[in-house]
Amino acid sequence: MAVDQTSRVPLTPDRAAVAPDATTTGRLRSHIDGAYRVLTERPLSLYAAAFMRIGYGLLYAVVLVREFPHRHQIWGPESPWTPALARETFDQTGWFSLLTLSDSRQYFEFCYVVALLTAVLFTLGWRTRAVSVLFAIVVASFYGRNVLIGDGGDNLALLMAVYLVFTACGRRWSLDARRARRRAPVASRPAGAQPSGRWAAAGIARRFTATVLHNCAMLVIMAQMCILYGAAGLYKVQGDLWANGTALHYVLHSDLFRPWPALSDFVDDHQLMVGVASYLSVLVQVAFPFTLFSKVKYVVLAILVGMHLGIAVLLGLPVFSGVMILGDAVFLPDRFFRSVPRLWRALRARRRGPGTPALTTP
Amino acid sequence: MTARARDGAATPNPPRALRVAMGAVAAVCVAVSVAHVTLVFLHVAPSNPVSQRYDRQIRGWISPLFEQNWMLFAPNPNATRTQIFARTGTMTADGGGEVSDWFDISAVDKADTRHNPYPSRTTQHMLRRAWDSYVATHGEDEISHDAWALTRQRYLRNIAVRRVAAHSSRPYQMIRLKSVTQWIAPPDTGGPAPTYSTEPYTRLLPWWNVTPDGS
Repeated sequence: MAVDQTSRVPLTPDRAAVAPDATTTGRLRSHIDGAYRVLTERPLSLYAAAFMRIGYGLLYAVVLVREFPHRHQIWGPESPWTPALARETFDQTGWFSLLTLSDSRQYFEFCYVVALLTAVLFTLGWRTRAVSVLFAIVVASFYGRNVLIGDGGDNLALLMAVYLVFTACGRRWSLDARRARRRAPVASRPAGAQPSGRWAAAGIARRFTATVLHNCAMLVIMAQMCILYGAAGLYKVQGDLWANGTALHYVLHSDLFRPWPALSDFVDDHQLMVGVASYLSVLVQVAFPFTLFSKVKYVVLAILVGMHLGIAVLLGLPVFSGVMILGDAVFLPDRFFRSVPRLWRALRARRRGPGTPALTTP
Repeated sequence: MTARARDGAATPNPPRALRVAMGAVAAVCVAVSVAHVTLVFLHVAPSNPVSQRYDRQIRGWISPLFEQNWMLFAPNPNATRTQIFARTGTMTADGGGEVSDWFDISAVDKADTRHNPYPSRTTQHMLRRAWDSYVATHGEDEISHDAWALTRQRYLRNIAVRRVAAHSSRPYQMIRLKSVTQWIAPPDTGGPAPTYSTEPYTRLLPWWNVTPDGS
């Protein structure tokens, strides 16, 4: 398989000479060579990874704060989903949770504080690799403790917490990045002072592994989003209420998903809008994986973000929507993320006074 | 630019042994990623000859950490409205029994959702999903036929016990639930009135014992 060949390519001593080869095998080889370079030379989409780290860390902290008054009911030893029930389920599913190691209340409160602290540190990007492992363990522990209390958003948040462990999500917009910047002048010592021999080799190997892991993980996250939307869309295609365009009518009348009844009724009164939105959400979800290789993806992403904002407000599911929107962010290029702070600075400069030239920040 | 250099473009000429090792690392990473995505796909896709043949491997990899529940309002959103009631039973000293009135344990969820931009998951998911998972694991005989179903039955009972406790402090030894389900009216299209059952459907569950330790 191609997978095996990629590992052999860099061993070719003069791989540069292979590129212009016009034969089929030559072209194939140069394609594989190119893919290998993309995968291994530098970590891609570092800003998207950082954005997802900040977003998922923050959302998890928000959930823990929001559910603080209900924490015992949901995950604590007094939950109706008792530790005994959870352990019984673990025996059958292979799950594991730190929370069921002890039934004492103090232990649970301790875990809760650790979870909150982990989410905050993960958001800030402090010792990101180590904290990301802890974050994944925390998210999995809380998820597994009570699997019957969440929605699809919790499912995706768990997957992302696991995938982000393998990314270099702490390289941008993080405390780690700030520390690296401060230490940078020290690193630019004269060549003689550079580490050499075995240490240099270890450094190269470490950076290389981090890069490959990151790029593979980002591709897995993208594939996961495609599978998510593809499945969600294709499941809906099988439903007759989505087919006749009335699905949203029923969603808008679910008691637990209409925090603003007047608003839900107002939307429901516009049947054309409901019909179009029903069809559009199915169409966009099914089409999602196929639009990623063209600029159409930005249109589709914008529709999906709009759809999720609608779900956040109309159905009272802000965290679910946030988790989904953050997942979409993996498809945005670094260009986009870098332009956001620039735009923000420009806007602030314009607001500060008419004397300040706007939009000319370096 | 400095950032890019720091993020580690590999140095031009690492020793040969190192390059072999790095190539192997890359190959393993790619192979694991491809395998993972393939297994996730097979798990999500409808049952097919490939997924049937490798069922054990797929389930072993997906469960528990990589679960995929993407039936979001699908294949159909819930077109019914379910209320869940509980009543409690007490043995009296003379050997007789006393039962309480039915109490709507689902009403509090509806009330707590109203005008709440971010309802708690105890409101939106706890009783709703406990009920759904009970229904999914129990037939008309209302008997828990395996340990899995029994955990669902216990969970539902424990929620009911807690909600009744918030409403009344009277001691009791038994509890039973019933659900009343009604279809949500289809949209009014201005044409002939659509046909749908307006009759509520009631499901009565058996008495369950309640012990003070909740077992």
